[in-house]
Amino acid sequence: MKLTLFRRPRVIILLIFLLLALVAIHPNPWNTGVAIRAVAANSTASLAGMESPKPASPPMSREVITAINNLPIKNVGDYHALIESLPANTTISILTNRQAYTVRVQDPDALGLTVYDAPKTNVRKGLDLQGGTRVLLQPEKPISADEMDILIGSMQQRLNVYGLSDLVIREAADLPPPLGSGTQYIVVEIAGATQEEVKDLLAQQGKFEARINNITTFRGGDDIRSVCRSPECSGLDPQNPCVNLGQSWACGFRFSLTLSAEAAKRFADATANLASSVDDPAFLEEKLYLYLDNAQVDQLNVASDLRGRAVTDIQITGSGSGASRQDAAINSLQNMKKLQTLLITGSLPVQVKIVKLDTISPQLGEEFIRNAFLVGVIAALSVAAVLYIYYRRVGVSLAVTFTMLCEILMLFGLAALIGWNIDIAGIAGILVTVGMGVNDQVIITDETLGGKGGGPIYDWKERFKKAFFIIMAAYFTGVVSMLPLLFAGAGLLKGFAITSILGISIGVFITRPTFASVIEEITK
Amino acid sequence: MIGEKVLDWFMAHYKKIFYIPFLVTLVALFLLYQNYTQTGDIFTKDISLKGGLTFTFITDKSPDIAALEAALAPVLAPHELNIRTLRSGAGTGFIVESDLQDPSRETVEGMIAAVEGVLGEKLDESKYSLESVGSSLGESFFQQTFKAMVIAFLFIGIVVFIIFRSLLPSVAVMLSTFSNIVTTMAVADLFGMRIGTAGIAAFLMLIGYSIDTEILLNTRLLKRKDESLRSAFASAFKTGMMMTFTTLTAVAVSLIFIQNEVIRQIMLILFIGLVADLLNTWLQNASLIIWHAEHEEKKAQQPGAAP
Repeated sequence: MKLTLFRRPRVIILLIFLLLALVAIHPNPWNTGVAIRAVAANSTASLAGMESPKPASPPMSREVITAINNLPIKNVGDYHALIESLPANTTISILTNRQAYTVRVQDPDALGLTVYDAPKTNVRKGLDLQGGTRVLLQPEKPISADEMDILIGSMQQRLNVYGLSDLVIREAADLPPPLGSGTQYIVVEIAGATQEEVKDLLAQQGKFEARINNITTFRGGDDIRSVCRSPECSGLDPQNPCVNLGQSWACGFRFSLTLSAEAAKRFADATANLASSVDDPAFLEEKLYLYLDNAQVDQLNVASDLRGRAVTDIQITGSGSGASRQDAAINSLQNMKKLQTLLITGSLPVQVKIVKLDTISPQLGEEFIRNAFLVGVIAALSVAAVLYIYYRRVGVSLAVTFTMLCEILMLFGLAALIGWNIDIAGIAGILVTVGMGVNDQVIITDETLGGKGGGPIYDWKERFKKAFFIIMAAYFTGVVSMLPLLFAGAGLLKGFAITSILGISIGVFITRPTFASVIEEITK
Repeated sequence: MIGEKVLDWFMAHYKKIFYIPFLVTLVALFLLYQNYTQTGDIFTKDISLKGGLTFTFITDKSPDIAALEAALAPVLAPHELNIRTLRSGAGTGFIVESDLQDPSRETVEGMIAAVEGVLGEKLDESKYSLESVGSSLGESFFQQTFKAMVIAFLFIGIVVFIIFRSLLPSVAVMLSTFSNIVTTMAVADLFGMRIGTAGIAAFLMLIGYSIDTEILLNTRLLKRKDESLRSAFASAFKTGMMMTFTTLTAVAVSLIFIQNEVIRQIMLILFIGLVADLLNTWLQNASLIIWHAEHEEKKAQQPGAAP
């Protein structure tokens, strides 16, 4: 191989992408400690100034606890053993990678921290590889199988709309008498959610109602045609900026929504005969009251010129609070997201209550990942050996193995960048990428190294053209076969389809052309 | 790589050879149908797809998960089990999941006794619970998957038709991919494999792996220039075998070294699928395409045919 190889644009592009992938993955195999997943509001830890990580922040940017009371914390086991050994009413020092905190603990169980083993890369692992939150819920009254299906479907939709997609919802029941009580349950397992989000999203029936003059004008779900979630018409409210309330901060949010024609007509009917307010004639005498699960959450003044009009565009406001300005802003946006979710998905068919909320270990843990890694290495080496035996060229064998590595690295980099969870379906997608990649490289090598009948062709372009025709044909066929899976809804199919499509695209557009250049250099 | 005599024999008899993989597919379809009429499913589902029993208990002790598994396995046999840990305010819990559907009183008592044996303490009623759980994917998942697969096959057919401007190659590719999945499923059934979410992912992977060799074969045979059909087939076979052989090597090596049941299942399904792919690509698809190419050539040679 000659150094001229590194002057080729294709090779330079590949190297740039590899570098970007490494930056995105941000690997640190020596990272120990426990990362903070969430700090419960108003808990001891929160009062000491500890903060929940921002949603969607990269795993490697999370605050990591490295020592408590000067004793090193290497993993979740160390952390829990230490916390459980603490006496009541004590003061502890918590050292993180950012600062030291002094926390006055009355009850160690109520510290309010949810932690997990410090991540070693920015690649997020899915529920089956990382574990998550497990919630046991009970419907408030016995429900039929059909109602159970509707309930599970609504919960699934609600969590998905909120942005949680790596989850499993299952129906469960106590064993039938005489072995048990036969009580119905729903088990939900979710990756990457905080326990508070889960509580709010699942234990609320989410019955949203807007009433004016005691007439319900619209409800969450069917009456809402669309809810704006883009920054132009949703977010922190410029009319109602963050204010310092002494001990705490409060920030307002606002977003607009579009009502259905029927709901707009109900609004027109309800306001047709209302007088203007005596205090401020610009507004109607009655306010629009917003109720969530029968509790009033907000009241809005209605402009007088909207009287009797079938208004379809409405602006909803609300607020959030926190210990600091930043906390209050995050809390406000989270409240907004929850309200938007409930408005879009409507209410659950029955009220459910949380029976138990736990952190659950993964189905396939560290041992699985180590084993998979080892087998991956051995498999790659054996493929390299087979290629060497067949082509008798170390260069070909090395180039194929190196290309495999590049594709896996770039795929992980992309996953870290766009923040999608690698789970068992993702691993299957990676295996498809690698397998189809090796196939394509065999095609390129066979076409260029010749060994085919007919006269000797020394035109590289002609040879590559033939190889790339097959590769592109296989690529398009592969991509279209994955497209329906992408839209099939269920997480398993979608994860597989996304990883495969991205993986083979990276292969065809970045690594395959480079591989062709390398083969050309080797065989010249 | 392929003997001249074998090649001659193949080129002479390909029309009959076509029936071998075709019959295999029919037998596989029959086996799947039989399984469906007997059990209500085309393959045996594991706990993640079918649901089963969960046994949850909380303890202050820190028992070894392997020891728990060893104690519980004989009680639950022949059903599979899987243990995970829970952590909440109240301490550490363990959750044993099994695909056992209707436990008897003996089984329940046996499980409690086995856990008590490992813990060395009595489990009082407030510390454990038993629940039956449903499928994690639900009935709608299988309907969605089925619909998605049908559309995927149609898309494959359309793209292949656009590439080769002819109906037969697109039918051949769809048939081969379909045969691969059906045959692999039937063989997995015969082995008594319990298919979980990982298994479903593995079946989907077969689509990608089969397309590669099918497209290679079709391109080399139908887009060839100044080359005989016989030598084009021989060269495609050489490249294609190398492609499948590298993947088979990786899969076989993984099967030897893997300790994890989930990866083993994926690899086993891929192994069966790749062998099925050899059969379906080189005997079924090849026969159809050679027949098609010869037919087209004859048509072109006939006097009066379009120039």
